[in-house]
Amino acid sequence: MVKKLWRRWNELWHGDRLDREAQDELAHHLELAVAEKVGAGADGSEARRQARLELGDAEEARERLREGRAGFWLDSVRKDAAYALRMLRKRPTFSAVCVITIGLGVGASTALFAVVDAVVLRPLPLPEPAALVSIYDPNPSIGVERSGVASGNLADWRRRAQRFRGIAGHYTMGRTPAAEARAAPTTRP
Amino acid sequence: MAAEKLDLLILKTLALASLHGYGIGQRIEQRSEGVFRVTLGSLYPALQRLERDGLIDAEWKASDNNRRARYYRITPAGRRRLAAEQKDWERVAAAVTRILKAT
Repeated sequence: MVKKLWRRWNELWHGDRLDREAQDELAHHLELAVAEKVGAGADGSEARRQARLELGDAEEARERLREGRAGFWLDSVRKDAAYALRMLRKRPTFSAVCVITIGLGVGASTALFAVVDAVVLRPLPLPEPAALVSIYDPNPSIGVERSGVASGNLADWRRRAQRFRGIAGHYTMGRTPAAEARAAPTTRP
Repeated sequence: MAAEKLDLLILKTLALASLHGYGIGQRIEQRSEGVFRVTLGSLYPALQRLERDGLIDAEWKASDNNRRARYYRITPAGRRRLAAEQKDWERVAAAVTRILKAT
């Protein structure tokens, strides 16, 4: 297991060295084949030609070994990235428009998500957010379902209600922004 | 030659002796009496694959003619794989022979 990881690591970071070694190994193989043919009586160039013919192209083998290494896809990704950068530099206006478009798009999405996250996704900072309910005082005679609660009623509810751990009321008051600076902020107890 | 068959032949060759790439190619050629000729483009990717799967090990050593060469050696996992694949191959070969000889 450790050995396998080590091997992958080497393939990733020392691809050039492994490539040189592979080249060495393939060249050695060809040399031995040529030497054997020379020993059998062929002359140098003829022996080389025959060895080539029988063993196939060393460059092709080297290429296949390169493709079999772990870093191969990384290498091709790096090449693609370099090509992309070159093309972008060639057409600066188009590139600028692309960058601005993508930038605005990402910014808008992020802002929108930030709002959704705060309002919808994140649970309230309470021990049991699911147990929290809003209570209204309906007034069907005038067709109002969610009316405000008189403070006397609230006091009664707090005294008598047993299903709730506690009941709190709050006022909502409209303020103009100029007044807001001086007034205490409206709180939700 | 199909890749799996070449893997099997390489494992068998290395089970008998540790060799460098050229030696492996030669042994396979000799033992097959020239029927199989192993090219660089098939042998070395196969060795790379086998080494990656942990079936063989490789090590740079000085060779007979005092040159650095990469020697390949079969691992215990390689021997187990060889035994299994050999059994499988014998079964398949026998079956094919029986079919071809049917009259």
